[in-house]
Amino acid sequence: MLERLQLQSDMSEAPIESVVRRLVEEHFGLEPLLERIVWFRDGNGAAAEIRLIEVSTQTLATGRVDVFAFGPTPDTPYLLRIAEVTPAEWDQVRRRQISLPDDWTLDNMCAFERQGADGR
Amino acid sequence: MTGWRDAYLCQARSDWDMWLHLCKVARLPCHRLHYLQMAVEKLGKALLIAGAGQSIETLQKSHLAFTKFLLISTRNKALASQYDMSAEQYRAHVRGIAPLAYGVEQLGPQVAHGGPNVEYPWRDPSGRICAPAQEGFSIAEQLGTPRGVNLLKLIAHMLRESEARYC
Repeated sequence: MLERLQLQSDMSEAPIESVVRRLVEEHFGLEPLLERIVWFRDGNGAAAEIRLIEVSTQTLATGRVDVFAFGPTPDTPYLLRIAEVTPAEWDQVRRRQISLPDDWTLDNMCAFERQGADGR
Repeated sequence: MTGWRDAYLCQARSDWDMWLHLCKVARLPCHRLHYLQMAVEKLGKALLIAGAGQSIETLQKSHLAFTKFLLISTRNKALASQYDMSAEQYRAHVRGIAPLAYGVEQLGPQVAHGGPNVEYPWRDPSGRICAPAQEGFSIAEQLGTPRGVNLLKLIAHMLRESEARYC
């Protein structure tokens, strides 16, 4: 089913970076306790999906990066794979003490902080 | 991993149907809650497997996935619209019932860490040995409140949506 959803997405009309920036703005607006949103760029260049880890002071700590998938919508015509971790868990991810999902890499990420939500 | 995902969904449905049945016939809350906890655990794992972030061996050991999914689902405007809610309303709705969902997930013995659970005896802080069959489980009463009813409706909805999407 996920594969079918990917095929349905119309990626040509919504450059992935602009979609990510809109999602970041929306999510910061919706969740006041989000400190940071990290976008993991798709390593194979196909831009078939958006991968986010959101760092929140008020989420359950599980010691893992638990990823959930949401299908494409008219607003977000990409498969959205998203995880939420605590700030302490994010530190562990950065120190490679908590594993990232397959094909996600710290070497190809873009972090958005709450203030200004500037990519860096 | 679609085979695993679908199998967890199938078992979640079976456990959910048993919960509904036991609500009518089971006298003890532990038996009803046991099936509710298992339905929620397996639905959460199915949703986690659909995210395909880790190996199946890791995912099978995961807990609290349903509550985690609920918290993340507040970012999804499509889900909010299924409830005829704005994103802000849906977030408030989910934030209101997430503690109860967490309470249901904590009924599992693996999450209870030797404390109250619906399956195995435990020792309470005073040293008393307790059996699930002798406990009232206050969460059983909370499930009858409007907040509890909202949680049960949401679980049923998520189960139906997942079956429609994946099966």
